[in-house]
Amino acid sequence: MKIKDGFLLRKLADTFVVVPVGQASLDLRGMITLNHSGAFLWEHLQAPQTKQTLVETLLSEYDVDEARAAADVDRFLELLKTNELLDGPVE
Amino acid sequence: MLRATIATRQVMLEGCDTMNHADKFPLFASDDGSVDFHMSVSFLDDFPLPQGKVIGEHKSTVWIEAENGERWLFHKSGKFALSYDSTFSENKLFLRKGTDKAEILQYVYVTQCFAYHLLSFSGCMLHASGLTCEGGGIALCGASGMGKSTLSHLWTTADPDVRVLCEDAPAVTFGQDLLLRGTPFCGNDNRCCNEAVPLRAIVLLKKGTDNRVVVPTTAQKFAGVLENFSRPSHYRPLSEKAVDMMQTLIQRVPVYVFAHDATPAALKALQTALKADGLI
Repeated sequence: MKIKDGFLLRKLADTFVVVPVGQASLDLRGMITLNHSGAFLWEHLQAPQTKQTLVETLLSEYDVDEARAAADVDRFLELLKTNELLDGPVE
Repeated sequence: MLRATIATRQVMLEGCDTMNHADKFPLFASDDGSVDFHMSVSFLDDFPLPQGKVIGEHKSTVWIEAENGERWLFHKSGKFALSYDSTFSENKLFLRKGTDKAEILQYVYVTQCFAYHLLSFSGCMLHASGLTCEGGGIALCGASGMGKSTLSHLWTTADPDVRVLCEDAPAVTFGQDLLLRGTPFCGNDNRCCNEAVPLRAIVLLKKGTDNRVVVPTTAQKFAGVLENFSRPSHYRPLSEKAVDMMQTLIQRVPVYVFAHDATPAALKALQTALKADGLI
């Protein structure tokens, strides 16, 4: 799975925003705000990932335990799936 | 034919005499012989559609990339079609004869194509009432009905030294200074003037009762400017450039949110807040 094409990630001061461009801007009006870890996962999802690779990536960057990392990844993927931002099944 | 200099671009419009506010173009008249932006409007019984690839579709609109590289926007009703190039420098609007609201269609597409053309050349257009006040520009941004025209009427009535640069689509050009510029694209209100002033503030308008000016978060500033920034939905390079410009705008210009009730008290509250920050 990976993020669908047509979204730009930008850092603004201490926050991150995702802006749809092209066809995506017709499907999603407005923009998405991400925190630091959300932006981190978003950037990695520009290439195909699995849940497990995302958890491992998160663990390599943040000082959290595996259960917490897995829960955060699940929650983030659920949000992306609900908003139809993912290409491919969540696995 | 209409020739004008708008936001430093040399503009030529052909067949647009019946466009809304064509009478405002003489305020911007100039002809140095060069053409940066060209739009022709033709009324035809029928118009050719190119062979090519459908690159997008949304509601009644289809976007086509022709085999010769031209891009087209086609309305499924068959009432109109638009061809444009990668910088929106050369544009052709075809309207079926007898199409209703032809004047409005011309206005909408000339304004839109010019806005997208500006993006290619370090400029943009905002959905705003642009005012010049004490040598500086204030952009009152907001969707229809958020009180842009009402507040600008109140302000110019209260202070005759304040002028409307453009009531619908002022331009901003990016250089050492960000300049807010008048354009002849003045929407329903019909007020504009041919001046350029340093942009001092962007005010995002909302309906409200407390007449309070607040400084939003960075994300809120960006979201507010995004809502009022003309950018092409179906041409990614310019869409990306627009995002870069929006980021620059909110980094260089103070942005406020103003929830107001469109009364003289609202104007006073806005003026007080802008004065307190040294912007007027």
